[in-house]
Amino acid sequence: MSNPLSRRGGALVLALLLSSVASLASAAQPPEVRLVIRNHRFVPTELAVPANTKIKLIVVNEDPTPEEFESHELNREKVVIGKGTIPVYVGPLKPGRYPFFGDFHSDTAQGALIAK
Amino acid sequence: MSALTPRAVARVLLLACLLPASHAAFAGAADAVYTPTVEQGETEFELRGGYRDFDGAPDEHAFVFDIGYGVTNRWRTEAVLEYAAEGGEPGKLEALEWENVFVLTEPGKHWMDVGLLAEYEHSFASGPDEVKFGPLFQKQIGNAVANLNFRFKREVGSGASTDTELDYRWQLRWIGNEALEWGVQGFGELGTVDHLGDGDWHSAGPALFGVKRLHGRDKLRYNAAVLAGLDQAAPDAAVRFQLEYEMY
Repeated sequence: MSNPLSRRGGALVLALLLSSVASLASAAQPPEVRLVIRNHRFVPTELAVPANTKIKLIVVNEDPTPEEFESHELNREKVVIGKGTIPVYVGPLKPGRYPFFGDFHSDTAQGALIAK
Repeated sequence: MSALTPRAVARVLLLACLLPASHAAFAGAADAVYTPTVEQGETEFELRGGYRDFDGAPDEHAFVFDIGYGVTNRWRTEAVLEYAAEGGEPGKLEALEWENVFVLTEPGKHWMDVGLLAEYEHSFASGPDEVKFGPLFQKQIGNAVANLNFRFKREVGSGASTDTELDYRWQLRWIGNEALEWGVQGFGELGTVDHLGDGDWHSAGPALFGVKRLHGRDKLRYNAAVLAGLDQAAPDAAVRFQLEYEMY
């Protein structure tokens, strides 16, 4: 036998899910910042970005081999194929320094975002 | 595989609410919290397990071993073998499962990251198999990462029930020292879709997380939690762990 309270509870759970999904509707585009991978190094090694603002990193791999943009502090890991370009969304970041590295060539591919 | 629009994701969840209800079942001592993230080209070997203590009822323990592969930046697929001892029965191999995680939105682009978990479980015992699917949510809140999973479960095949069960998992992890981070986790059952709240139970407790970088690009990722029951139907106490060896 169906339970009206359970149906309402179920509808509430699903309404919460749907409203959460609806909140995914895109707001204004975040500012873009370009980061290049060249000879297994990031160029530039440090990037200044505005604090408290979502940022779209455009990671351009000029090398013929893949690299992985990775940062524990930014909670991001993403492969960029050779001669490829990927977006990486980060933030809003509190003021501070956020290191990142290239996991395929971590001995040379090191960098940081400076949020201020 | 390009990111789905929020409208498309909403359609998937709307479809889920049309499924009829089902009987309640436990989430499993070896359950884990899933994140809507995939690393392309990564192979992972995972071992997870758990033990649940019940007052006045047989304890449960379970282990899961799986092998997974990141096919694209949006899709990871895994083969899962489950072992469990439940209901006072001796432990045995229970099921073989095909598990998939789909990343539906570009991480960090929207207010919340959304993914989808889709599983097919073949039981070694006689009886129906199971289909499970549900949304995976992730939201970074300052220096913490919050995750919430919902999972709808429905039997398929000969003798299958017409009910659909709903359970959930969640965690909050504070980003800090990569080797040791603290947080909390919670697991629970919500009952059947048309009888939500009937037979539900809830547990939560402290958790720790970490990553150890090994040679090359390999990593060992781990987390564990001690959970206390928050109501009478829940296990009084439970411990769970998860170890993942990731390689390229």
